[in-house]
Amino acid sequence: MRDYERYDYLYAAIKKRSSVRLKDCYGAFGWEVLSRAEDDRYDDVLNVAFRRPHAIEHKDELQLMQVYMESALNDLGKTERYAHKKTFFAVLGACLFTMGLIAAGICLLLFFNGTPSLICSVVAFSLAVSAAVTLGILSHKLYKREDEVAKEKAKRAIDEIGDICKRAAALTENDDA
Amino acid sequence: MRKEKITARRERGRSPDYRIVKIRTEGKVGVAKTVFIGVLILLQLALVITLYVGFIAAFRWYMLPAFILSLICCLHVLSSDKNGQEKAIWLLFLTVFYYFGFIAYIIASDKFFFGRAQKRYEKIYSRSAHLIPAYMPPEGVSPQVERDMKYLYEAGGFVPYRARSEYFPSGAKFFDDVIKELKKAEKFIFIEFFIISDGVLFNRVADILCRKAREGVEVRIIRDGFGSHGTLSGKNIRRLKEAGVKINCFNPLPLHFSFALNLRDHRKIVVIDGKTAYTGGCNLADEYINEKRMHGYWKDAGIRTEGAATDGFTLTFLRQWEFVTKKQENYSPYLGLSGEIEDGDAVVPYADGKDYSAAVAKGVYSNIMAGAGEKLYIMTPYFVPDEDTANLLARKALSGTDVRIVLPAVPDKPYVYSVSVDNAERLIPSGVKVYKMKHAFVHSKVVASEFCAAVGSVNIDLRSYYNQFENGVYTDDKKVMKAVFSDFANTFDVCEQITEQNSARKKFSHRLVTSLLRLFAPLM
Repeated sequence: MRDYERYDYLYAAIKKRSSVRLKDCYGAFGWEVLSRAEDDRYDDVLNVAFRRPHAIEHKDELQLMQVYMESALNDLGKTERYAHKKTFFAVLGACLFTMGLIAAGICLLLFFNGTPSLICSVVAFSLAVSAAVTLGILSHKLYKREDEVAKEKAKRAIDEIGDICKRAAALTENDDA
Repeated sequence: MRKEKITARRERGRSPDYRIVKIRTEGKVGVAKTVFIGVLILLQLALVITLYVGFIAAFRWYMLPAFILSLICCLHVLSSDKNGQEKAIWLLFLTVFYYFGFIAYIIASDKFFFGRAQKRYEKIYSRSAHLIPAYMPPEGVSPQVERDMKYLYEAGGFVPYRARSEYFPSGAKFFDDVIKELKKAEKFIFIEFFIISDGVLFNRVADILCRKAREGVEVRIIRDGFGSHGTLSGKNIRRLKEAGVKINCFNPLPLHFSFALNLRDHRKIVVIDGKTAYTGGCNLADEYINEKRMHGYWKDAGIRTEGAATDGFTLTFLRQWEFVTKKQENYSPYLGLSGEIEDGDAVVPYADGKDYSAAVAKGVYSNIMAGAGEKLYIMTPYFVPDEDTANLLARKALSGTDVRIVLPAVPDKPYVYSVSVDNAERLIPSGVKVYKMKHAFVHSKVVASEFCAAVGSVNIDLRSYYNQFENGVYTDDKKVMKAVFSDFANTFDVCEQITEQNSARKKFSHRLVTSLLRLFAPLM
């Protein structure tokens, strides 16, 4: 039985790997964990119920900041999930291109006779090898660059979350958060 | 058992959602509603086109008389007192769809779908007209405020009172105060909201209402048939009725299409014992107190008045109650229960709707805008003004007034938002400062100049100006003004200002869609 006269409640589905960080974050906003349970559908998700006094000071500011924090957290999740999106598509494209060249080379060898087809198939195989090597190197560079960008973005998001939590903690006088 | 549990757990996959945290109350109500409305509009459009094509094929001789009738309607539109935008849209409609345009024009006219209701309102208003006190020019107010107050009296019979008021910059603060006062009720409680929805807030309020009704306090509720459609369960309505609460619905949704669908009771009124009254932007639903997360942070505002000014709200509520119940009402026991507060500031509670011949709410806003000298601050969820209002804002900014408009950064209705932002951006070259509140949906309806402020349910859009039943409070209360400007200052801090530089050049497709959406501006 919830006591809505004295308390506000918050129900959140959170990623397990971030549960400790989130407990601290929400703690800064005056929320205390009431219960936590495994999600029925996903094994990386926890369902957590929080509670805080209804008549908490600076409630409006805290609610607004909490939305900022949740937005920053989800931006972080998005950055982590799609950190190497461009690399993925580049590698996929490179694989398709290389496979196309190899297939063309095999077709030339199997279905055409004579020196020109042999030369063309050798060219196709050579192109496939060089394309694989070149695109591999480019993809690796792209991966590294994307990794750096993602790390930078993640760092900014984490700093922002930390900053928001500090400001919230100052409002709730919950310094241990 | 343990093995089964482990197997079940193994079968669960990883969440495909990238979000680290998801608030469980986050709903997709807005999306569902938008899709629903979109499908409805498309279906109606498909029906209209089918009929149109069918008519042309079957009755070619019909084209000439239809064209002549539509032409006559065009002349009627031109000579009517509709606003410029509405006139232009009707002319376009009548010219393009001349085959049936004149029929649509006739059935969409106020006389056709609102004529009988209008007569009933007139009877109700004439019966209760003697209850409106005579106009007494308030003392110690600025000439601007005095003129505005005179306008309110002449336009709708709204008189100024000396009252004590308090402004609430959020729905949470507003409803905490409402609940505190509801607990003290001894005689009657009148509640009128556009949306009443099941949830934590409703349960908190309903518990008190049921208890009070059982104790003998008279409790009456009006909810709008569209806004509260599907949001308040039958179980909760029964619970209220069983406790003795009288609850009625304004303009319930009919099964057939009707232009009366567009007539909504958007008012927000709470009256307690004829001594305390509330209004503002908030409805009785969880999202308004940020209990439910729908569009980021929900920014809202409200105001409380104490003293004789409460009579203004009581009269507005009782007139609507009489209209809804179709039963003659005795107003006297509910009026004059609170005296003037001598040290209070001037307050005028006002209402607007099809029941008034003048567009009162638009008049109030226009007067505040026109009277502003140093500053003019506006907070509104939707910004679809008519040409007069847009030109007035541009002129004020050009003449040196600090005009600022705060809009949400998170839309609740993307189609209205697109037009709202476009309208606001068009004013930037004139010097109007446009702000978007980050990660928030601004639902406050506040217009303030250095002289006065209006807080209520009125959006700056054509629906609020011309179609809906609205209400608000006009005041020059110093305490309220200070709180309003403090709220604006705090809001500007968490806003992003849109400038000509950062308002990105829109794609052709976006501009085309926005232009098409403008055709539906009167419905927004």
